[in-house]
Formats: sequence, structure tokens, C-alpha cells
Amino acid sequence: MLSRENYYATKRKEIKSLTLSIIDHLLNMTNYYTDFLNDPSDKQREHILKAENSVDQIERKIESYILEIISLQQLNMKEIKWLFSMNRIIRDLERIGDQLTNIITISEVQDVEELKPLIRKFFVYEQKMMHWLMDGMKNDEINVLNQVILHDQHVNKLNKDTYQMLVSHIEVEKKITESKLKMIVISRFLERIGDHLVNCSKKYKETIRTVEKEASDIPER
Amino acid sequence: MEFLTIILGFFGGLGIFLYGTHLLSNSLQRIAASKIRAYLIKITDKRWKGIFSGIAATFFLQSSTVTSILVVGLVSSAVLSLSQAFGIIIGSAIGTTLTVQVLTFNISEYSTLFIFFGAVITVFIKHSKWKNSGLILLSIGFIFYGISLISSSVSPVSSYEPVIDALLYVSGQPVLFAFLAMLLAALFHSSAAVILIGIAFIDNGIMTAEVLIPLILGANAGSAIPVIVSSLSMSSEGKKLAFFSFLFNFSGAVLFLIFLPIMMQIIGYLPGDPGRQVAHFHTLFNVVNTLIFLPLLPMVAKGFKHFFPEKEEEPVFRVKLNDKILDVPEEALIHSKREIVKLATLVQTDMIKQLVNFMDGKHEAKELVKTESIIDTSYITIQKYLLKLGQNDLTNSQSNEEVKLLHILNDIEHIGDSVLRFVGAAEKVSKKNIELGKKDLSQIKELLFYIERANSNSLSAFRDNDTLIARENIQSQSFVNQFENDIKFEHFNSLINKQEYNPDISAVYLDITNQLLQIYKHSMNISRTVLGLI
Repeated sequence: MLSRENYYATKRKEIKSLTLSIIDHLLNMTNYYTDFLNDPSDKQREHILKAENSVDQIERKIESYILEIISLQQLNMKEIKWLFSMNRIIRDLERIGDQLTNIITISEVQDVEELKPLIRKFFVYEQKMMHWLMDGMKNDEINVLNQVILHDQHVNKLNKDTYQMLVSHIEVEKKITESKLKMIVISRFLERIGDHLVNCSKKYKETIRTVEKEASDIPER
Repeated sequence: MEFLTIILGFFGGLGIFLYGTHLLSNSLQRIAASKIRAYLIKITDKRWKGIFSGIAATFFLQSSTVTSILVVGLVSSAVLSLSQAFGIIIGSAIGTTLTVQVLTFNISEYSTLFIFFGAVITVFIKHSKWKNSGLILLSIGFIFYGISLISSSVSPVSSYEPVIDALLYVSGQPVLFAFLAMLLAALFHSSAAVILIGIAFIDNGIMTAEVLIPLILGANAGSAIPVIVSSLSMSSEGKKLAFFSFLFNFSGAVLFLIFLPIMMQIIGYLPGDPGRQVAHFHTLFNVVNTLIFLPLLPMVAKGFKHFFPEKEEEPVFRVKLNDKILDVPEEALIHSKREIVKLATLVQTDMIKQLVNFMDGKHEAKELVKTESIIDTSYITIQKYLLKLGQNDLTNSQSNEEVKLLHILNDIEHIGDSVLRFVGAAEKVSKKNIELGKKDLSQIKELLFYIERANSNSLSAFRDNDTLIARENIQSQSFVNQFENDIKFEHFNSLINKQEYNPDISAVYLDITNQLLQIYKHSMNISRTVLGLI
């Protein structure tokens, strides 16, 4: 018996696996950042920047795959939707990479001690969300993806708490220090990471639903 | 020498006038023909409404011939009944008199202004809508300039005794005068031209309004003669309408000639100068004639059905396209589309739907060959017609429609060719004593089912201009593409399973599927063309 390998099916698999590898890189970036908080050095910083560079490269690679597939093969609507969703997802993931790079760029050695508890709290939630996103996408599981979406409320609350804490601090101290200002900015960046993860989950959920909905679309005699 | 100048001036003026009317009608047609066609379908549900729509259509198109061509098309496609169409035709006779009414307004002195602005717009503005407006201005200018040239060249005739004598002699013989006017109107394809020449004689004191009545009646009847001549090559509906138009004008003229002395008195009571009285009488004649004919229309329609019995549908497919309609591109495109739809239906019913029967030995190959030969001949006829049409000055949307029709026609012809190649490939099965597997055969039949459905959808999309069907049809293509890959893959695997090494089996099987996929591809192209993917 012969077996066959469809070019589109292969590329589709590759796109999915590359997308998952981006999430993996992002998880690594959060770990590198935690390392940086423990040992604030240029070497640690370098790790994060390198990982971000890889994320960008993979994003460009997936984008070129998508363009190539669309130009080569006449696809049905379901597949086109899938490709477009993946394109949106990698954009969001790339933005997460950017946010993490922004955080490391503005984090100075002297701020580390003050930032450590805040960032760790965010990362606890967001690393969980990244894992769920990866599992949900890998196994096409809507329930797991829903957990990402639901969990975002904790991230939002953390951001709100940070703001309130700083407002109270300003009321007492009657001034705002540079490190506190950075805290506001970093908290906003971390909150945005949560939003991007939610976007990715929602987009991927749509593609699973489309597959389910259009499963009956196969022309019948 | 002066006589020569008169002749040259007269014919020059007449030529400019006729060219102006032709240009005006063409320009108005480009803007309004499709709208007026739609209007005729909507409005003409009652006889009196038909008359009003006939008046409006002829006035706005400035041509009773174009109106009659549109009406013939609508009757042929069973959108209008014969009795309704007769209503429009008599309305169109009144519409023509409105043109004469407008032309008797003395605005000739401004004709050069119309020509100037028309020429400036036509030459310097590239936008097609403006260009068309420029042509309308130019044509109005030509018409009035032509009238003024005719009038000024006729003026010196009043001093030529022999010409005056001849004109007096002719005008003294009403029947002869009417007959000559009828011939001239037929020759110029315009009753307005003849009546305006008559008015030029009145303006120069050569004749009176009373004397001109036979000329009005004759010219009116004469304008229907070119329509009869061109209807000889038309469908039976075309002939019926042309003969009705002549009957309407001619019988009215005879009736009015019988009561000529009374008519000569009536014209004197009409308001305005003698020229205007002539225009009024022309309108009055057609209105009275209409009132006489209106109650008789159902009876006349019955009589026409009796004298022109419906021909039985011909057993062999034949393209019915008339070169006369090429002058009205909008209508010619509708006729061409109708013939292409007929051809596509023939391909579907007599070829594609018979392929399963052919495979089961229930339909003979020679029948398919015969149908393909009809398709080839029809393809050439329709393509020639469309190419001739393309030489006309088409609007952008007409041109776009023609390109679409040419594409679709080409695909239909290719489907016929592919069917024959499929037959050739299938015949190899018995010739080479090849036995195709059961699964292969059932998959070919399944592919045929998808092809039949795709072709049927494309035909519906084309016939009804339904872009939704076309879109859905194209979107289903990826499924058939995958099915093609799957059946080929399974075919190779089944050969390996059976340990079969005869290369002929694969060659024939793949040839058959490839030909079927060609049919599928051309059917899909039709949907693409409907969507405008050209």
C-alpha cells in the first residue's frame, strides 16, 4: 500500500507546531526574567532579548508559510479561516514578546527588589495561562482555552491593585518616585500580556468551533 | 449654378439632419435602453398604459425602430403579450409626432451653439458619461442645423417656375402625393424628415398646410416600411409587430384620405402658424388613429395569431440571432445571452446528463458526437455575432457583459470538446479489453455527479445572474480538488493490491478522470465569469 503526504497538511502541522514553539519561547522569556530578578545582570537580559528575536523570526516564518499556502492551494473557507486565525494569534504572541522586552528594557538593577514581588505575582497567573493556551491549542480543547479566558480576571485585578496601592502611596508620601512610576508602566505591560493571551484563546476557540460547525459541509450525494 | 447650390444645400441639410437623428437615437440608447426596457416590462400591464409607455419610450429613445426592437425582444421572451406589444407600437407612433412637435420650434439659430459645446465636450472630456452628453448636444445641433439648411435651400425654389409647377401638380394629386411621401419616408427611414421638408415648403410660401395633409399621412405610413423590411429576417413576433405597425399607419392614412376635404377644414382650426398646424395635425392623426384601434387590439391580436400561426418548436437546436438587432446593443446582448443559455442547457441535458447513461451502455456515443457538432456550429454563429456587436460603440457595462458572454460561450464549447474526449477515452476500455475495478467505476460516477451538479449550478448562476450560487459553487471546488487526489491515490493503491501491472489501465482511467475534470473546470469558469472574475 502506498501512503501519501499532502503538502498543505504538512505545512498546516508545521504552522501549528511553530506557533506552539512561540508560546514555549515566551514561557522561557518569563523564566529568564525571573532569573534576572534574582541575578540582575546583562547576561540574563541578553537571554530574554535572544528569545524575543527567535519569536520574531518564527512569526515571520509562519507568515510566509501562510502566504505561500494561500497562493498555492485553493482552500475551503474553513481552512482559510484557520490560516487567518493563526496569523492573528502569532501577531498577539509576538506582541507578548514585545511587552516582555519592554519590561526588561526599563527594569534597572536598583529597581529589581521593589519590582520582584509584583512581577512574580503576575507571572504566576500568566505562566499558567500560557501553559493552558499551549495545551488547548495542541489538543483542540475548548475547555482548557476557556480557562485562559477566565483566568484573565486575576491579572486584571492585580493590575488594579497595583494602581490602588500606588495611589495610596502617593497620598501618604505626597510624591511619586521613578521606581513607582516604572511599576505602573510594568503593571500595564503585564496586564496587556494577559489580554493578548485571551485574544489568542478566543481566536483559536473560533477555529475549533468552525471545524465542528462545518464538519457537515462536505457535499453529499 | 444656383440650382446646383440649392440641390447641394438641400441634400447636405437632409444628410446632416438624418445623421443628427441617428446620432441622437444612438446616444440616448446608450444611456436609456436598459432602463426603458425595464420600464416597459413594469408599466405595460394594461393596454392604455402600454400606449403611454410606447409614447415615452419612443420620445426618449428618439426612434420608433429601437422601441419596436425592444418590444420584439420582450414578446419573444414571453414577457409581454402580443396585445400589450401592439399597445406600445401605437403609442410609439404618437411618440414620433412629439419629435416633430419639438423640431418645429424655431431654435435653428442656436444650433451652432449646440454643435460647439457638443464638440468641445466630445473631443476634450474623456469620461464616457460626459462624452455621451456631448454627443447628444452635438446631435441636437446637427438636427436643427440640418433643418435650417433644408429650409434656406428650399427658399430660392419659390422663384423657379418649373419646380413650382411640378410641386403644385403633385400636391394636387393627393394619392400620388401621399404615395411619394411614403416612398421618401421609407427611403430616409424617417417620417419626421419628410414632414420637415414639407414644413420648409410652407415656410417659403410654396405650399399651404391644407395641401400638405397627404404628405403627412404618406410619410407616417412610409416610416413603417423599413421596419417591415428588417422584420423579414426576424422572429415571427418581429414580423407580426412590423406588419401591425404598417397596418396601423396605412389604414389610418387611407381612412383620413377618404375624408380629406373634412381634414383640410380641420387643419385650419388648429392653433399656431401653418408649420405648427402641420405638427399638430400629425399628432392629431395618430391620436385619433389610436383611439380607433385601441378597442380593436385584442381582435387584431387574434387575427394576427390566425394569419401568423405559431411554428412548432424545431426538433434540432438552431441559433436565432438577428443582425438588425445589432443596432440596439442592449437588446443584442440580451438575445445573445438567451441563445448561450439555450446552448448551455443543451450541453447539460444532451451531453453531461447522458454521460452516466453512456457509461451504462444506455446512450450511444454517436448521439453525443451529433450534439457536439451542433454546439460547434452554434458556437461559431454566436461568437461571430458577438464579435460584430463588439465593433459597435458599446458602453462600459455593455462591453463588460459582452466579454463575459464570450468567456462563457468559450467554456461551453470546451465542455463539448471534453465530453467527446471523455467518450474517446471511455471507448478505449472496450477496445483494449480493459476491465476497470468496481470502485474505480463507482468513483467515476461519483465524480460525474459532482460535475453535473457544478454545471447545473453554473448554468443557474449564469441564467439568473445569481452571484450567490456562483460563489457557493466556486467555494465547493476545494472539495472536488481533494476528491480528485483521493480517487487517483485509491486507484494506484487498488492496482498495487491486485498486483496489476498493466499500464493501460491507469492510462485509460486517468484519461477518463482528466477529461471529466476538464468539464468540471470549464463549468467552474462559468461561475467565475458570472462573479466577474475575468
